[in-house]
Amino acid sequence: MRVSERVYRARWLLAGAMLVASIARAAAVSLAILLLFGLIDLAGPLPLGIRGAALPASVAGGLIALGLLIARGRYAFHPTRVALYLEERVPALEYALVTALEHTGPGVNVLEQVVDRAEPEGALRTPVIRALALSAALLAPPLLGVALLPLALRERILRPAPGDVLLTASRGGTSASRVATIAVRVIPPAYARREERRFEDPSLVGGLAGSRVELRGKGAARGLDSLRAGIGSEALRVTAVGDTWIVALPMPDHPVAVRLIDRDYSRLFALEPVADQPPAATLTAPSRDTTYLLPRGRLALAGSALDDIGLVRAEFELMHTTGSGERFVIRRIALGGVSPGGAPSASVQATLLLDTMRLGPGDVLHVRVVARDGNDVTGPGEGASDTRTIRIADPRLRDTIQVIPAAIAALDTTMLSQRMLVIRAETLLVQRRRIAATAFEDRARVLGRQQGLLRERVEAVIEELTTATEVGFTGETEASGILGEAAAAMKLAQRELGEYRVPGALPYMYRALKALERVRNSERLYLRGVFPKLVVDLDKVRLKGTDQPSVTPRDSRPVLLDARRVLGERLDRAITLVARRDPGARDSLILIRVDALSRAPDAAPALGRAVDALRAGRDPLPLIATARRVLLRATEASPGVPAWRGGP
Amino acid sequence: MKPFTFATGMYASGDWESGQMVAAIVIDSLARFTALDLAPTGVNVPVDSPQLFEYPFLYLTGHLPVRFTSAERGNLSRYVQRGGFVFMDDHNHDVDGVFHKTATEELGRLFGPLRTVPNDHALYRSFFKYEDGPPATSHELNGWGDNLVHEHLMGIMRGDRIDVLYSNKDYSSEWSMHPDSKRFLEVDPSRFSVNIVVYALTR
Repeated sequence: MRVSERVYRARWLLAGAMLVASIARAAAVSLAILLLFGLIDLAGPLPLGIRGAALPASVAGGLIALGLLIARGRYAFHPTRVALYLEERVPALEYALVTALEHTGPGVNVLEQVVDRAEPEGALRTPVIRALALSAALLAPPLLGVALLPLALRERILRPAPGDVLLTASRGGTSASRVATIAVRVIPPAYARREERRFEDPSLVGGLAGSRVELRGKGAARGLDSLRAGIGSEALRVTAVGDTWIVALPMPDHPVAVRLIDRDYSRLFALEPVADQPPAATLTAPSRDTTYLLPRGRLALAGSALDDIGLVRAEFELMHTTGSGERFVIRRIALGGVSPGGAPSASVQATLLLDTMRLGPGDVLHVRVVARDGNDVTGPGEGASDTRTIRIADPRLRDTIQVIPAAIAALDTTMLSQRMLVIRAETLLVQRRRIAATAFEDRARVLGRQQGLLRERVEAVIEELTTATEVGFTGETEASGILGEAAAAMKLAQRELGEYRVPGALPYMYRALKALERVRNSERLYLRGVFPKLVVDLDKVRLKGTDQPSVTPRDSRPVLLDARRVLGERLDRAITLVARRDPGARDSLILIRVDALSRAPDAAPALGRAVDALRAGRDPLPLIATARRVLLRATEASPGVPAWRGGP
Repeated sequence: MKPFTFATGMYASGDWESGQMVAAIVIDSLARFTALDLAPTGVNVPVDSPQLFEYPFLYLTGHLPVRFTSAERGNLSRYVQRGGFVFMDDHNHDVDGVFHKTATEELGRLFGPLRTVPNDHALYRSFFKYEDGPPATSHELNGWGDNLVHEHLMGIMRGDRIDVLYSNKDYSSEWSMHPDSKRFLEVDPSRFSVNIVVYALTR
């Protein structure tokens, strides 16, 4: 065998052994790191963040060790260094191996014969075996240690996840609190298409309102009798699966504190729902309210919608109102709808053909964008844009000139009075046999007088209607004609009543009432933008009312407490508890945070951080001080909001 | 101190101006029964304008759909937050009417759902005593509109204090008459308006 072949074979043997030994030792380092984390976690549960670093630290440690070991054994790849290694271990070679490796000229044969006689390969067996054996010996203890770790502990180190706190060994035996260590799962509703979240020993649990919240703890095998859960006075059901107790509840729509009690132990944590916001819709076209002279042409509609989770529908909503007075017909039309399929945004566009909308003079069209989200738990959330009002001009209406509408108001009350007169005449007729003739005549005469007064009011209205100027019509109108019929019937009724002929008056009174009702349903005048300036003569009527008031003493009103100040006072008491290192301090801060979320949201974040700090064993006082400062800061004026000038 | 001024809110959609006589008749009733310092005439104030904050009492009515603009919505919300009182009356007196549907939707969007004002609320004894809650209107008794006598008023309330009073009873029609016309009536139909204003000013 040639010298070079011998050296190369020796090189591969040494390099292979070096690599195997390096890998084994690096693995030993890696496992030792994992074992260290495991043992520390066994002594006292490590936080999730630190456990999450165990595997990367182990891999990194192993790789670094491997790198160092290979660097140290790199000469195993070098033929000359291998030859020198053999020369060192086999003195009989007398440097023939190194010389033959480097010398290619005559005389090499002599050197090879020396090498052949020495057989240096045999010198490699012992160091290789020793190196491999030593590596195995180094690897075995950490490997065994990791293997002997409890399975749950290995899971916590190798696959740390929120909520795996329940995998830790329970301490303190049967007397230990079963609510001290809990895990919480928050499973969002299906429509949200979000992943579930897990919390380990939380103080504050957030999640979408309507989510399913599962609290889990250990020790159910000891029985559930002394284990209770509740929100305020509402008890929650506790169930058991194996040794795990479970409390399931929906995430409420407002922040609440959940209390868990196990015998004399108790703990508190807050459920802080995040509301699914309704979609925000915007109508971009038309950009302003419009009045059309004629309902002709096209109207471009454009809008958009956004949602925090996902939209299922967006469309234009048209509301067509036609009619007048108190008789209106409403038509709702959906147009240009799109189904975004859960996308967080959508745009809608459509063209409105006014010619085909059956719009008439005086009609009103309200246009807006309406969007709905897919919330099938607490919703659906619906959002609507601002509304644009499209009016079709009515030549009978005048927006810019004053129209005195006294006639309309007078008609309404006249009709009421006529109805009342009819009722009173009918009542009088029924009572006729039971009352004296003189009384009957007196009351009939009074009714006749009142009928006359009503007739005068109706005639005054006719006068106003037929003589009004600059209101778009002249002379007799449809309304004034019908009112003329009413006035004529009233005159006849007045005459009959004046002669105590109530049965004879009633047909005329009915006719007058029907005429008034016809007027009410006929074309009406409504002004836009102008109001009659009716000035009340205060001096004339001041305290002339004859009805007796019955003012009773008002109940004393409970003082509306300033919620922020109340929270501030509670925070002061909590600070005392924190300073005394009272175990109740954390619960107090959680309860204050729950209330602050709705009453003083700006102070809630600092309170949340204070709760976390207290839980982690850090000093929460600076954070509490921040929350207190925010809570009790002076009320500031908002720029742009006008000053209150209301009186008296 | 400024005299009390009855303010009618002007909003962009619908027919805010349908209760034309209401201001005068309410002012007349307040003068007849109370010694309140009064402005002799009402004012119309755009709901989206800063002028709104000059008046502690705002009356809104109409027949047509109510769709507040963003500016109106924001101003109205601030107005109520800062102590203003809103009295909104459905001039359609119809729970299926478009005014009711859209107005309650808008109020709900602004302030949350309307609550029933209990019939023993301080509103019904703030001046005249109404043992059975809100007085019925002749429109209800005549079976017009939705053919119902509404037994309660609704409101946006803080505790038991009313911020926004909402009526389906159509007081706007009941009070739609010239103040002088009251002399034809045995009972002043606008007496209840005194309770509303006195309550609004003393709550």
